[in-house]
Amino acid sequence: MRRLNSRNRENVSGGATATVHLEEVSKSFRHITAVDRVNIKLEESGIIALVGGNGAGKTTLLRLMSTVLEPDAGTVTIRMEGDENKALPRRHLGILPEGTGLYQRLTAWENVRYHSRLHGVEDGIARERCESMATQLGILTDLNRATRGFSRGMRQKTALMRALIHEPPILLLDEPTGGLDVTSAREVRSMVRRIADEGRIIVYSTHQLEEAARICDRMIVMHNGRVVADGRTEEMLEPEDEGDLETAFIRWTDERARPTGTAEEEGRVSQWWSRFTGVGGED
Amino acid sequence: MGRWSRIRTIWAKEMLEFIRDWRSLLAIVAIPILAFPLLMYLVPSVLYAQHIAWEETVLQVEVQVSNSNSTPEEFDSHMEGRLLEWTLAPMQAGEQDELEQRLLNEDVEAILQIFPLQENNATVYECTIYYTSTDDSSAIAQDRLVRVLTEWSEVLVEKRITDADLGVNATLNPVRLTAKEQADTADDAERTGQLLSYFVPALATLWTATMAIQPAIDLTAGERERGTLEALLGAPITRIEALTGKWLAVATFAGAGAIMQGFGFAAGIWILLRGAPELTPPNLGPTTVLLLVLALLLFTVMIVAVQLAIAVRSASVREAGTALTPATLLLLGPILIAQAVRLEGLAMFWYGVPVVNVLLGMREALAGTTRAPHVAIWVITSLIYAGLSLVFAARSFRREELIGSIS
Repeated sequence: MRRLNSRNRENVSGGATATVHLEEVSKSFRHITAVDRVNIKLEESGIIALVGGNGAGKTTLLRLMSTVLEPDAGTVTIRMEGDENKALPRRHLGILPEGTGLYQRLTAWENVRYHSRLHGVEDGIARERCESMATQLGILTDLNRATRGFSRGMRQKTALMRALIHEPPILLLDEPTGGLDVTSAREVRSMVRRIADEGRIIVYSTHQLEEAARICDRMIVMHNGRVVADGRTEEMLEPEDEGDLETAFIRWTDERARPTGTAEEEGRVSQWWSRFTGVGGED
Repeated sequence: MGRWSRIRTIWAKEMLEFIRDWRSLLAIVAIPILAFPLLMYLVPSVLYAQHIAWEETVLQVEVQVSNSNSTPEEFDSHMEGRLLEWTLAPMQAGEQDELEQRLLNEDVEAILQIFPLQENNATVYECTIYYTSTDDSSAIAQDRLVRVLTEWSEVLVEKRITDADLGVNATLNPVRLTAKEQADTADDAERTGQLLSYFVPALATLWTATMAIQPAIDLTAGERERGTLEALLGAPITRIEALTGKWLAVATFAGAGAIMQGFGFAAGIWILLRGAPELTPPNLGPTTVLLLVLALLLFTVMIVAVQLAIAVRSASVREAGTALTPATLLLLGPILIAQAVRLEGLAMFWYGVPVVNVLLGMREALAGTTRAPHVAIWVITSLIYAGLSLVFAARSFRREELIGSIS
């Protein structure tokens, strides 16, 4: 039985310069409730794992936090210390979407520079920061290469540099080590740990419990669009879990999975075609 | 960082991506510049070469004369020098099936039947040519036989008029129309301008619309499919700024393509005029050029916004292509209307119809018949349509479906 690898993070977590508050936030897409009355307060720096299975609502929650999506109900508030301007709170965020979102015909540097310019960072400063991060991530010599030929790991590292180029106080990372080899995943985790220790809030979405336990200071578990557990990992375990996070996860998510792809979601023509051909449909 | 700086950053990035794609460069530079000159050089060259080849081909025909074993007077002399190898054969009247079969078997390319008749104390010749119009050789043989008959007829007419002591020209041309060149107040350059007005506006608008399809898809549905749109919208920009940057990029691309097309077209016309000295280049003054550019610019603003709006509502590149291609082909309707109607006496209403209005404006400019009220109507209505298209695009760009699915 695997034991929880808990660490004391008291010395690394602390008050952050920015905060994120989600109050009774809900979001539905047609007939599916992706996020259901979620309340989360992120006020301390550190790495916060957002854990859940496929379709749990992690990515939707990240998109709501990033204000790319607007909630159907509830409020998402992002505040920066000393900044009274409430317009475009995204300027305080660094975002790493699931698919990295890199332009393949541009070089790694051009991808990073594009976002640094949108954030109003001067090219000279951005280049210095970019080279520093690229050195830490081991891709300095690849900065002027088009990302078309990049491996998954190199793309992920480039996207991470892009998210960090304006030194945001809040970082939203969607599966940052997904599909990476052991070495690359370690380099990314190491960098994320280091920037969290600088006093940033990092929301780290993953479906790997072991990774979440290893790197994160706090864990938010999502299931069927709801937050089913939230706290420091060692505090979240019950005696019956015997220190095993996997057992605890099954306890938290002991419900039938949300049905997906029902006939109701399909268009009328698609439903008619399914009935006509006997392919797809109700099962 | 100001709004326009962010828009410029987005525009510059999109243009950089276009420039990096050799297919885009080919579409925007090489094809427009080379296509028209090549077309206007190659098509006449190929047609001329084919014409020469036919001019050297001797075709087999058969002549049948009713109730006679010989041809009528002077007929034989007209068959000389016509590249026709002919034989005289007995008349096969009433056996049409057999004639058709011989033509289908290509024993001969055409069969001429001559029926001499008596009418008012003179002999007249009723003639029938059997041929296959869908067969090139047969059609050319028929054409050559028609020329023979025409020439033969003219000679007979002249002879009979002379025999009757009448003047040939006075008898045949008692009413004479003055040559057009002497009476037409329009000069050669104006006539060339009018000729161009029949197809240049259609080509320019269709080309612009077609050029915009791929970038419009790539910058919206393509970005959505590749996941780059989410990263962009996660930056501190409004969706309107993102849309404006992209719209400017597509409009620049399509506009540049249209300008290149203009250069290519001018080169093509120059090549065409070199081969046809009887044509005079059109007289395009600064006002004409300004009106043409304005019309194309307003059309570009509108069509690019509409295409972006349609593309952004599609979940994938494939879906966007499926929607945009027929939508662009729908332009053929107003284009054909605008090219077919006569400008003279056209109701004012038409100068306010979307797409038709800019085409009519371009036609008037090229034909040199521009009228201020017409210009005012097509400029104002085009501005309104362009604005409405931009609002439609902006509304489409605000839709939350722009960002992925549930996960």
